[in-house]
Amino acid sequence: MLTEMFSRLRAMRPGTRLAALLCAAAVACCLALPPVVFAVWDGMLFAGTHPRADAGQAEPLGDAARANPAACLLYNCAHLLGVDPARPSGAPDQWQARTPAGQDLADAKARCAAAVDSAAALGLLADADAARLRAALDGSGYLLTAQDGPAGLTAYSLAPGPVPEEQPADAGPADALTLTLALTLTADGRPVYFSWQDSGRTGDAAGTGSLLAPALALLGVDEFTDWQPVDWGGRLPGAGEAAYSPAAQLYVSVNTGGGLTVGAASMTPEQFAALLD
Amino acid sequence: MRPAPFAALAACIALLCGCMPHGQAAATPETAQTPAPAAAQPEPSAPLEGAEGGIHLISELLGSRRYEYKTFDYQQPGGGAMAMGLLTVIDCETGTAQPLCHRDGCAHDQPGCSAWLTPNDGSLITLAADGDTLYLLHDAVDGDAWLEARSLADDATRVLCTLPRLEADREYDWALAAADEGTLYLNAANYPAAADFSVPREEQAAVLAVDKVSGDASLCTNREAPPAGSPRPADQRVANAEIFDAQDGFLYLWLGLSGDGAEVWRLEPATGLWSMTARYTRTGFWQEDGLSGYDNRVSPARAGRQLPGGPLVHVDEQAGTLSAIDTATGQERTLCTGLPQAAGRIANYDVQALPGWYVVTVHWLDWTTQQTSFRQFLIPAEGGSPVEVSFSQYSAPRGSQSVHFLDQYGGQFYCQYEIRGSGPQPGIDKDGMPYTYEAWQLVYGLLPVEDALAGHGNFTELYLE
Amino acid sequence: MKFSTKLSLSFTALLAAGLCAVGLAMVGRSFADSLASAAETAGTRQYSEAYAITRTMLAGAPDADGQYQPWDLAAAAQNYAESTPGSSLALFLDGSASVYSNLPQQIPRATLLEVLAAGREQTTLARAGSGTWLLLALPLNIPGREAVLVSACDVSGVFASRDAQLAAWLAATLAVLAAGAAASAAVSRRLTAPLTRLQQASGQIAAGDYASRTAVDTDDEIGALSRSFDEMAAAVESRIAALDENVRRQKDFVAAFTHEIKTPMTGMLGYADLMRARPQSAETQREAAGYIFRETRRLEELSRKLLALMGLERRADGEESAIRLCPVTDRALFARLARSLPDAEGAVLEFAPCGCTVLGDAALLDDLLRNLIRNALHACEGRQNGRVTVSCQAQDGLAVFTVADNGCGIPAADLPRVTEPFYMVDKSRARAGGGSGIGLTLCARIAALHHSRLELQSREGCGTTVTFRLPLADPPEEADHAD
Repeated sequence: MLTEMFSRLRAMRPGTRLAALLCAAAVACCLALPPVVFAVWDGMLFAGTHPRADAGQAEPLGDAARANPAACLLYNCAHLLGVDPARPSGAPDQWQARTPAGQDLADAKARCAAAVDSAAALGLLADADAARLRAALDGSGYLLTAQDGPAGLTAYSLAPGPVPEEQPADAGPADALTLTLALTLTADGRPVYFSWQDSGRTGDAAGTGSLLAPALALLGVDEFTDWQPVDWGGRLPGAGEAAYSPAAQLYVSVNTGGGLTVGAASMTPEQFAALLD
Repeated sequence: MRPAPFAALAACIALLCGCMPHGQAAATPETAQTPAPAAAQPEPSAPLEGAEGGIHLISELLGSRRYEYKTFDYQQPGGGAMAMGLLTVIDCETGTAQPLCHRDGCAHDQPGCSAWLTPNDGSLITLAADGDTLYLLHDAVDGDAWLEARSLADDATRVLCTLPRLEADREYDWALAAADEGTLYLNAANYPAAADFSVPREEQAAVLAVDKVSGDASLCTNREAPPAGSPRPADQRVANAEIFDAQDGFLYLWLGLSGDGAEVWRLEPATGLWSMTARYTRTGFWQEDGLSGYDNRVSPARAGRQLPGGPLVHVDEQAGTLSAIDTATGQERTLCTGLPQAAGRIANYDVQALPGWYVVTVHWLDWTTQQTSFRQFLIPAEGGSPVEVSFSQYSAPRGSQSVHFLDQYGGQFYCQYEIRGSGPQPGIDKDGMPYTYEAWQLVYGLLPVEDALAGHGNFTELYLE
Repeated sequence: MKFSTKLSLSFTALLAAGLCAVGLAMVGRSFADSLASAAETAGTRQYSEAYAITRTMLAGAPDADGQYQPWDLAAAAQNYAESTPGSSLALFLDGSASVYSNLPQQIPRATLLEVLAAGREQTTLARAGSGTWLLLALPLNIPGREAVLVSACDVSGVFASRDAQLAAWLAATLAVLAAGAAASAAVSRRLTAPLTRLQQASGQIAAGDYASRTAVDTDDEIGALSRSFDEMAAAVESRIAALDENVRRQKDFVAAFTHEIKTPMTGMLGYADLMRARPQSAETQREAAGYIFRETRRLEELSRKLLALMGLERRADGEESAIRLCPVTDRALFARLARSLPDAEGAVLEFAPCGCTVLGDAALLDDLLRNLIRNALHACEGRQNGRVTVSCQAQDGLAVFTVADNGCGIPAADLPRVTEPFYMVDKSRARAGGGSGIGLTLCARIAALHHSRLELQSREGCGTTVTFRLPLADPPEEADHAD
């Protein structure tokens, strides 16, 4: 049959023979083309990397923020754990309350004192206020409680203790217990929330100048350089200083009303923009 | 087409037709309990006898529709949020929920929509529909209350009247309760304004009649006046008063008394004549850790609609029985037995009366762990074995709770069946401090009665609050 | 190569191209969609893994330095992997230190390092052993730790499915091509069958079968070509038949002419030779001279009529101008004839005009009638009461010219042939009378030029009537009177 085919081919005119051969070649190429194409495609697939289709989905935290322990922790609090370091009562199932005693109490007081010292060293506290806070920690008039949260967070609360029924004989004029201290510390003692209030004080705490930079240093997020001051203006007359960093995805606020409050929360640029509206 | 394939196709079609279900034969499923027969439901949309022109209860439910009001924050284009109110009509027959606005071309997303209301600060708005009118009761915290009438046809609204502060030194718990063809009847229970809340207050039952057209308001009676010969124990006073039924031209009020007593009073608005029709005494008293209660009691079940015979039920948590009491005749009939015992402080029955069904939710509280648990039962209105249903909804801050059956219409329950959280959201406090909150929405929707009895949670979402 | 074969080959090549394109598109699209879906699923699953592992870690506390220990991280990853069937992941700390891995061992470490280096926004495909894996890297938000989760998703099934689809496509394509080629061959043969019939008909016509036709009745171009071919064949056939008839007539004419020339020439040659050979008597000389004179005159008459006939032929062929049509009256025509014709011996010649006017060539009509009259007179020779009547009657818009005699008549067998050139019923008597045999041929030709024809009726022994009809015309303003 092949011989007959070849003989027929030879018998054709050159043009016709060429056309017949081209048709046969076209059919053969068409049959062979898909496997070749897929082999080449496979080569391209396995040769390098390819963009991930869902890059950015559900994981908006940038590398710089992830590398910062405070920013990373606050991000997890906001987006993963659903806890507010400043308000343990908002997620009671995630915080375990306890009243430190004995060595635990001593350790807790030491940690709080260290945080107070850090704040004072940064200029967030006046020396006198820092001294009063240390005295309150050391004294017996105040009660220190703690709540252990996720990720090693511990929220301490120092508040005036119960008034004794009988005053000591040598008690001088009753010291007014007007201080309150609320701290939320990480496992390594860094504050993510710092607030002290003096109910006996009128007006703002002492200090002139911006406390934003020391507050950023206290929180351990001063390495970011893109902090944008936020002016709440007339919308929030009681607001203090505030700033937002897109790189850290952090909002930090400092308020000296009645004492000092330094707070931070992780929020995406979109969430922050929505709050500004 | 050739004959052979056509014949095969016809055979397949015939086979498929033979496999299709015939009507509703398999409607009643087996349940864990003794199967309850499918109840012949009274048509709830049909007006009860005497309702047309006769006195009847009114509520946010009217026929297949229910009217809801909720507040929300409107983000103004220039910045800032403004609190707005939204009127919504939910139709259980069509399975739709839409703003109550009849404006042509309105997208219901801007102030100016008829469904958008600008509530005055602190006012509480309750709704009741009757005929072709929706009545809005505005009750301001520090101010007066007033009544608005809104046409359901064209949204036209007018202030009907300012509810009179009948006595300056008294506070009024206004509530839209009943109506007849020309008059609205409001619960006007009142108590001394400067009451010391450390001492239980004494309410006085009252009913205010408001003319639907003129808005003229008049008190059906000023004070409750028990007729002679029906002495009330001296240590019992009215703790709460509510209009719970309306039949045959009478309004029925439930007067809960301090102590173990309760009374049913009947008012004839036409004459202003009051009479006490029944007095009940609660038994099975328990008291523990500052809490107290009664395991055996008569009280009106929570009901969204007027029901034949009224919503009075007799609950015996020790025996596990539920009975219905006819408001007019006082006749008691047993609805069901075999409910779980819920005696004492750790458990109680919560009874909801719906057209054709009673829903009993039995709550338990583990005193040690402070964890609550519950079991829920559906009981046919004519009586029968309770059918336990195991639906629940969970939210992180609220724990697990039962589905709330609110109404039954056209073979479907209207329920609040889910608590939906928005996830942690950042917010800024007044002092500029950030905080995290989570917004929760209550999800309302429809569940076919058959699915409820079978335990199938085929809820159809209708409304978010 | 046959045209049907060319069609089949072309169709097969196009079909192969189409199937190739369809196969590439469908298999390729399916493969791409499957791979994308697998990548999306793998990505979503990895987010779940990261979420779960991070939550597990954050549920516990770091050490006093705020650090989560590698073994705690490994334990969290291991717990997740063991409790989640099908998970395949590895946890890397601080760059490339693996603290946990249940990835397939066939995946080389170098590949994993490449995945780590590529980062969270890239995916990598790797072949390991008999499987194909999609590798993704995702950093975990563990405070104080650079932790990266590498997840592997087995996408071998996607590639295997594609290969299976490709094999199925190839088998289906081969089958479709074979069936398509066979079908196209059958269809193209059927479509080109009329061309074959056309070719066969052409061959038959070329071989001489001019009656051959293609008989193709289709409504396409081939049908139109066949119909045109058949029309051409019919025209060729009729032309060849006409040519054949012409040739035959020419042959017959030449043969008859030759014979007519030869016969008197032989006699003339004989008599001339007699007179040349030896002196003859005066009577013999007179007889011979008379024969020679008669035959010469006959030849001269023959040549004159031949010339007239040829002139009429040239007119019929259009080589010369057509006859000159003028109004001619029968009276004038008959009067001229009466004057010019000699008295017939033993026959009476009568003319009966009716005053008709016709359009014709007077000279040719004169010749026509003259010949007819001469033939009639010859037919009446030797008959008693011989009469030749020449008449004209108007009948139904026509002028009917009739030359009737009561002569010897023409046998019925000869009647159809009397207008053939050189055909004579009684040659001897005709030659004796100086006939050439082409007189009636001339008359028929003249009648044909006037769009008429001779109608001959004859009974042997009773006489002959020759009739021809011409359309009547309006009388001329000046009648063509005989002068």
